Parts: sequence; structure tokens; C-alpha cells
Amino acid sequence: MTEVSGPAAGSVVSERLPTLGQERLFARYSSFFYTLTTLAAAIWIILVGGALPAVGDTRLGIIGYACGMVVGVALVLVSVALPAFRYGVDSVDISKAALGIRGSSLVLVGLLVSALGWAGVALAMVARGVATIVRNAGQPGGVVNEHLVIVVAFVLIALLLILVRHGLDAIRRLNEFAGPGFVILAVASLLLMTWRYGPRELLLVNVPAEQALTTDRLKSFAYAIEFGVTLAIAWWPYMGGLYRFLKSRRHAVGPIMVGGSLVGNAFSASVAALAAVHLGSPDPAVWLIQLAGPFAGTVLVSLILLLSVPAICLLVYFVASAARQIRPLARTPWHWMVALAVSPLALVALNTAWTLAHVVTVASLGSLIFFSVCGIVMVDFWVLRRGAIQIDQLYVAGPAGHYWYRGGVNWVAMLVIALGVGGYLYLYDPVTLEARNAFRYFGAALPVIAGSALLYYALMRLCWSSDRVASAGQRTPSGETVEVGL
Amino acid sequence: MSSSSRCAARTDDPLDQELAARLNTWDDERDAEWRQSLRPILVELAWWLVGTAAVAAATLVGLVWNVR
Repeated sequence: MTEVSGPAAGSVVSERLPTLGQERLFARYSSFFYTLTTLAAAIWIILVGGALPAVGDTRLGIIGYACGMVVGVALVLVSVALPAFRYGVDSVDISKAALGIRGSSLVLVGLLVSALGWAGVALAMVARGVATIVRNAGQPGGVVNEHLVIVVAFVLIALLLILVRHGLDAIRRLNEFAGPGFVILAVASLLLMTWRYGPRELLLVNVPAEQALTTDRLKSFAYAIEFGVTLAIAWWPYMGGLYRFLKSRRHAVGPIMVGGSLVGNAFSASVAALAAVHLGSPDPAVWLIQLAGPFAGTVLVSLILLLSVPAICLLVYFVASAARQIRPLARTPWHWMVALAVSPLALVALNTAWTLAHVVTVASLGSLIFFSVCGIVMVDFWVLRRGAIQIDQLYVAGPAGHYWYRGGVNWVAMLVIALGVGGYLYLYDPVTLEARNAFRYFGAALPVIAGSALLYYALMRLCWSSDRVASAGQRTPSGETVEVGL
Repeated sequence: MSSSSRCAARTDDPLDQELAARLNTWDDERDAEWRQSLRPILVELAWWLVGTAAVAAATLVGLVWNVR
């Protein structure tokens, strides 16, 4: 549950009810900006930054990544964030109109897999980072103490339990410190690198050609754009959960574009990319200590690890909140939901090295459905339903409901999602990063989103009468019975 | 369910009751406000996309095709 401030202070809002105006937590530009910056710039940005120089030309990697982020975030905004802002419901609820009441379970599963996966990866990175700092203080170059890694990971889990049980408002307050902290650290790191290498040399050094994914410059640019779009679309399941708490439409675009895309994401990833190409590793535990010296470097790395905790809190919050879609969990006390959400992380704590080696792949594959889902929900909401859904029908589980389709599932959407995932994997393998020739023109994510949107529109026109689809967006007294939970 | 209600709770559970109450008091006026507020949002978004397209085009010309 989320305790709210302002006029509704002291009251408690269920994560499953449409948010009312006075319950919307993000009332200021800065609070939304810092939350999105924290989510973007947390420790997983190291993985992204480490991948960027591999496109062959670091400058192309940075610029293409930033362009891809902006385009991807614009698609996420139009597809799910704006409808979630309007109706005060999360991404799973928004997807019910297009995928069906039960079909939206697919989005729920994707959200749980990707959020838990990335929370696990971040937890493992922070725990191993702390153990590396301790090792460096005692015996630099030695082996990391695995027992210490486990202890730190369990301390972090306890911290997550304490912080997330106070709800989104507590996490928002933490982000007011973490967001500016990340910005300051990224700027300081860039200044340190510029001071050491000079601005010209800093930008002109690339990885050796044999380590690059391609020597084709157009394909290099396509790879960079693909990385940006992919990371932005991975936010699709989470943005509904944040935008339902946004108060003013004036803050709908700026904070996510400036904070989430450019500052928190593209800028932070660029710093990690430049460090990777100049100092041999995107891991700040390595390059910040080389750059700033053992003491200052250790302090800076410790800050990065500490500031990543609120971002992991956000992911745990998304998991606990979304899991309430499952009817038996809808009425479970919030602190039990948080305990349930963090329980898989205990396995991560015991196997951090395995997690880092395998879970990134699982989390990445779990996000593949969201390319097609993004295109489908966008065309369903804006074109077929003319920008309106019937909010009460999102909670009607039964054949009388407008979004029930066949057995609660829109099989047209399911077919398009399956084709979209197949088409994406045909064009591009997100694990090995191998790509077909056609990839060099538009990448894989953008064609899949556009193709899914067009195919869904055409099939829905064929299978459903236009009156039936459009009328589902007009609010009429339905007399239906509503309930919380899938 | 009263005659003016759009929906009723399926069970006596307080959460379902609260859901029905919120849905029945959903302010349709907000729909009109929403349509008015949509335009500036989409205009702002369009500017971002135009700027991004310009950067991408300049990158293609200057760094990918190396046009001098």
C-alpha cells in the first residue's frame, strides 16, 4: 500500500484501485525527474555503457544510443504512460483493453520476470561491488570473499524489506537524494576523464576493430539506436505504475525525456562507455579507482553502490504492486507482498556470480514481448478506441465485459505478439548480438513495433466490427459487477 | 446498485466496494480536460522527435557517410 501525502495524508491507497487526484504523489517536476533519473542511472547502466563501444565507433554509439532512447521513450509515453496517467491505473490494467482481461496476464508475467531479473542483477552487482571494495582495502588483486558477498546481499534484502514496506512515497523521498547524487557523480567522472585525456582524445578512441560488432558504420549506428530503443521499451511495464501517480500533465514529457532518457540514461551510459574504452572496464570499481586514486575512487564507488539501492526498491515495488493483480494476493497485507517480492532475491544472494552470468539473458528475453505489446496497445488505444477506454470494464471479469473477447483473451493480439517475438529474433539475437543484413537500416525493435501495430490494426478490422471496438471506449451505464484482481 | 450507478461491487469485500465507489464517481469532466491537455503534450513530444531526427540525420551525414 502507498501512504499518500497532501490532502489525503494518512490514508492508504490500494495499488489496484484507480488513483484519485489527491493521491498522486508526483506533484513537482523535480520529484518525477529524480525518480526517473534514479531508475535510469542505477548500477545496471554499467552493463549498457560497457556494450556501447562494441558498436565500433564510440561517438556513433553514444549519439545513436541517445537517439534510440528518445524515440523509444516517446513510444512508451504514447502507448502506455499517457493512458495510465489519464486513468490512474498501471500498465497491466491498461493492457487489458487490447489483450483481454486474462490476456493481460502475459504483461504481468513479463513485468515480474524482467523486474525481478533486473533487481537480482543489481543486487548481485552491489553485493559484489561492496566485497570488491573490502578486498581492495585489504589485499588488492586477491579473491573476493564470497561469504562477505552473501552477507552483504542479505543485508541489502533486509534494507529493501524495510524501505519498500513504506510504499512508493518513501522511495520517492529517497530518490530526491539518489537522483541528484547520480547526476553529480556522472559529471564528476566525466570531468576527471576529460582532465586526464583531454576532450578530443576522450571522444576519438575506439575499441580495436577485431573487438567491434561490425565495421559497417551504418550497422554500427543501427546497433546503437537498437540498444537505446530496447532499453526504453524495457520500461514499458513499469511506466504505467509511475504515471498513474503523476499529478500534472505539464510533467508528462520533460522529466522522462531529460531525466530518464538523456541525463540518467544516455549521459550516464556514455560516461561508462568512455571509461570502458579508455580504462578497459565499464565497472566503476575498476576505472574510478584508476582515475581518482584508491581513496577518492573508493568513496565514489561506494556512493554509486549506495545510490543504486533506491532503484532496486523501485523494481521490488513494481513487482509487489503488480503481483496484486493475482486475485488471492489482491487483499494480502502490503508488508507480506513486499516479503513475497524480495523472497526470490534470497536465491540471488546465495548465487551472485551465477546471477550475473545468466539472469541478464533471462531478463532481456523476458522483455521481448513488449515490442509487440507496445505497438498493439498504442494502435488499440489511439486508433481503434479513439483515445478512450471504459475504465469500469477493466474490472469486469466475465463474458459480459467489453474486454473479455474469447475466454478473456484477445487471440488476435496474442498471435501478433508471437509473430513479433519471432520476427525480432529472426532479425537480431539480443544475446549474441548477431544481426541480419536488413538490421543495418532500421534495427529490429522499431520494425517489430511498427509491424505489430499495422498487423494488429488490420486483423482487428477483419475480426471485429469497427462499431464494436469503438463503442468499447465510450462510457455507458453498464450495470456490471466489478472486482479487484485477475 | 442505485439507478444512477454504473457498476456494483461483485463481493462485499471492502476493496471491491471501494473500487465500485471510485468507478461510480469517476468524473467525466476529466475526459474533456484530458482532451484539452493532450495537445500540448503531443506538441512537446513532437518537438523532441524532430530534434532527435535532426541529430540522427546530422550523425548519418557527418559520421556514417562522412560527407565533407
